[in-house]
Amino acid sequence: MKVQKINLRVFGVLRNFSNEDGFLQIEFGAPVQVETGADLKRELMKHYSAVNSGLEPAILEDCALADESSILQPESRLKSVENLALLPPVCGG
Amino acid sequence: MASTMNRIEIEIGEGEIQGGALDFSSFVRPDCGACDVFFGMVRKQNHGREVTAVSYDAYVPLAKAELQRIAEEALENASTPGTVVIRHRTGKLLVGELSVMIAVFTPHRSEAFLACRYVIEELKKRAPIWKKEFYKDGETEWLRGHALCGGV
Repeated sequence: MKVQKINLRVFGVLRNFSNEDGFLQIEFGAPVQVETGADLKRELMKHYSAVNSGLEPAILEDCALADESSILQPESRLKSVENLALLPPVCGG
Repeated sequence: MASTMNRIEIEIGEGEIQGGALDFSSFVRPDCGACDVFFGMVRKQNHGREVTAVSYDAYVPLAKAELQRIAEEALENASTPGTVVIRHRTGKLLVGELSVMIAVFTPHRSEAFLACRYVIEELKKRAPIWKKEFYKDGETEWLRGHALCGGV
């Protein structure tokens, strides 16, 4: 699918870069082709390498994509980019 | 496959966890003769820095789903029926406040110890929960933790 805008729910350290509702709003310069979770993460890293937002692409490298019920595997095919979350390394307990 | 004899209860939220608040009578079951309880609390020192408070952030729906899987695995690995109760705080906690409670009821103590240990170790590696520390010098830091292995 072609994607140009995406809203990702974020947590932890990524909240430093989100809006008040906890979403990272990304608009790619041009539509990007995204089929899998790995595709989306690669495009996000490319995007944040090119823009000066303060969010270092290296932070994204250790992040996982997820929905409300499970963490996505790299090869998972995305049916949609709605309702996705971007999760930095976890630290509960 | 989760046993129908298992009972799993998970709460994640801002409600305070009191050390004596677990209502044991509501979890007692005739086939279980053991209960192991783990409490985690906010510590004053971390990596040589003086901590004044901690704030927990959580992706609650996914955290509940993941903790449900972890609790089922804990009982399955211990080859026992049982009850697992997990409570985890969100929001800001001061030093000494309880951040997490895990109680495991099983027929015998060895399974309760095993399963309780499994739950807390896996929670730390897999539950989508994050911790921000507040230090005496006024600085704050989101702690680096475990990347969600296998994820994208």
